[in-house]
Amino acid sequence: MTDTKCIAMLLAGGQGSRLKKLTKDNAKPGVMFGGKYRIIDFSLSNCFHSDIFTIGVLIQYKPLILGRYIGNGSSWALDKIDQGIYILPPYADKEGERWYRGTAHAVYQNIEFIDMYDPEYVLVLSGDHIYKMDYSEMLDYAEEKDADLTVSVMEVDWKDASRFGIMNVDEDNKIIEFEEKPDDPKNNMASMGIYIFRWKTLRDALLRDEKKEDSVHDFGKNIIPMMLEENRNVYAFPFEGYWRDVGTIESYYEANMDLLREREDFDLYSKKMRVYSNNINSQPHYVGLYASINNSLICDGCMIEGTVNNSILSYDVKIGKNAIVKDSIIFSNAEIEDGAVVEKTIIGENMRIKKNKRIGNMDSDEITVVG
Amino acid sequence: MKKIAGIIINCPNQNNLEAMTSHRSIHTVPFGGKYRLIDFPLSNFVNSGIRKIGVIGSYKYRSLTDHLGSGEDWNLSSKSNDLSILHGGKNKKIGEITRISIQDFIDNKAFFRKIAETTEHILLSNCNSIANMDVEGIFDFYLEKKADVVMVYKPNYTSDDLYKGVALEVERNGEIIKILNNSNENMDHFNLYAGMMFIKSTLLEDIMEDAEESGELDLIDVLQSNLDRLNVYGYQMEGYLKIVNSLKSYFDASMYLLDPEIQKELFYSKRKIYTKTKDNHPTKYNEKSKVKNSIIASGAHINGTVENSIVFREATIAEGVVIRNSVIMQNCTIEKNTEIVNCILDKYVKVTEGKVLKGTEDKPLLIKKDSVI
Repeated sequence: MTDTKCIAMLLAGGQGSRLKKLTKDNAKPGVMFGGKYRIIDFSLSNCFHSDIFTIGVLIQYKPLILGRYIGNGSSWALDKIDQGIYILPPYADKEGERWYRGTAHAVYQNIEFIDMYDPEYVLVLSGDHIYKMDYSEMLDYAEEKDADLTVSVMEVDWKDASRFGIMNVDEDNKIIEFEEKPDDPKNNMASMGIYIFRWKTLRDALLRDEKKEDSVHDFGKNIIPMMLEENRNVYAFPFEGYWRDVGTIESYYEANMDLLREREDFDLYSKKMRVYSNNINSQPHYVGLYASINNSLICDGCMIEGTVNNSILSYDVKIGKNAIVKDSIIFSNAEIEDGAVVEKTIIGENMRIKKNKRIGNMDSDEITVVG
Repeated sequence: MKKIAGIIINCPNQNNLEAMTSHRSIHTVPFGGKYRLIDFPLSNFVNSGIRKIGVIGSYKYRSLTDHLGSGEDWNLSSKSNDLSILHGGKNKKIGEITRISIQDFIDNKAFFRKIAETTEHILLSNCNSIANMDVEGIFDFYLEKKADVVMVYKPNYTSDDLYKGVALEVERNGEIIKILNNSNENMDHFNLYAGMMFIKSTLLEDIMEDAEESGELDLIDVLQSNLDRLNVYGYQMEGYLKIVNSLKSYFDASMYLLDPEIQKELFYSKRKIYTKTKDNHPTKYNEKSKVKNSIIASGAHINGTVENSIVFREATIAEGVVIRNSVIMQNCTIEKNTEIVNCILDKYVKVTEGKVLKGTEDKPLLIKKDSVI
């Protein structure tokens, strides 16, 4: 097998129930984002830009759209000889069926896959984060610290700190304590759910965790506390930059709108670490005689006759005459018919908003979801 | 459609798009926001299931090989050798320019020998015919007529520019009785050869052999002088056709794309037009953008006024810019407060602050690739 220092295991099996209708027929990493992307594009593009070319994608919940989207990995230039993207579903063996019961259990079930590469390190990623990150810097850091586990952390607002897993570190960034969603956080360094494990150590930990009856087989709840208890070398890797978990409708919506704000800390538009995706072959979009488009992102194949303001339109969206779309996200192949008004709403794939209908409300705190 | 091989020729007599074809062959002239001219014939082939395709290049190869790659963007596989880029563009006689060069076929004998193992019919297409063709319909007609050759034509064509094309005289039963050069005759309405023909592989082989001896190297001439001997039929195409062979015809063809009917026919059909995909972001419209009746490709940034125009991928249009009736190609940068009317800006053109560029509808102003104005 090829000599591979680090392979990635991407957790993409969760239901993402807090995304409501958006994950009705689709796993969370497969949800559209920013018009042409799907959430998983960000992690996969990061892998490519970090020279990590072997990625196991662990799927379970509603994997059809995601699996079809990933294909052979060529969209992220990850269709290499002996390397690339491998979709790893739960499977049955002589002892029975084995659904993934937790994040750590999902990796445990694929020990054989990882052993085929026999890597020194395993990078564990979540498929529902929006960010650009060069993992090779984190890998260098892990080697430099001779770490059994390196956890990527970032500073969050103190008021939000109790929503995250908080890492308490010494002056060398060695993690001495980990608190999951503490009421009274001692600092504001939050875990981003990105881990680099020394494979030998992780393998051993997974085998032992599997035997523990009270374990829920979760990295945050079980594996990391266990490694800290055993006084392993666990380090925090401080990350500076834009990173968002888009697990709720509100955070998903805000992260989309961040693209329109052209923030300096997250430049989707720069060619540096460009985000790759499956490029759909649609014609360039057409803007009609009476259309008006401001502060928006528009994808190929759209046909716009109405007004689009502060919104994101995916592929092949139709906006009729005198229709108004404001502060909204429209997924591919949806149609907003003549005279319809859509405000502060997420419209799912292939949906049709009938003539003169009104959906959503600018003044509401709630984000409407149609799907 | 396994028995057909498709060949895209290099249109030696139509390589006349001024500075647009000084560094690239006509195949890869950018068109319609994200396409190249060759995407139309190539997609026509692929959409009819043709899986053996040869593209005859010219000596200006770089942009052609760069564009086609292994063919995967057209759903062609490198494993089964679906797409081959062939030699071409070696003109034998100075001053005389052939329409379909048999020399180009002779230079690629090895390729023709190889495709003869699996195919019986050859579909020849120009690289500059903009149309979404129903190739399967043409093939059915060709089989039904038991023809040696079927030439596709657009009836009742009115010459709206100085088009130097091939005109056909067609009998009621479809038989072609005369092939003429419309630049030599004075004709208002004629049947324009659409740049696509089916020909029997064995016939083309014979023609190649004869040509090596006789030196008669224009396939159109050979067909013309053998009309009485061969079964040559004309297939009347329906729908939109535009042949791009001059700056004016390029400009017109671009502006016609703004007609929703033509757009629908070319791009919203079941038969898709494929092109090289590119990873870029959706187009970003900023606060001050005012865009009307225009085609805009992905990866662009727009903060000015754009009317009746085509904007290609990754172009940047700053605040206070006014663009009308123009074609702005890939990666152009248009700085603040400029005015651009009736222009064609080739790739990577930069127009600096406050400049005014104006052409006319009849004579659009072409700005060469990489220029800084």
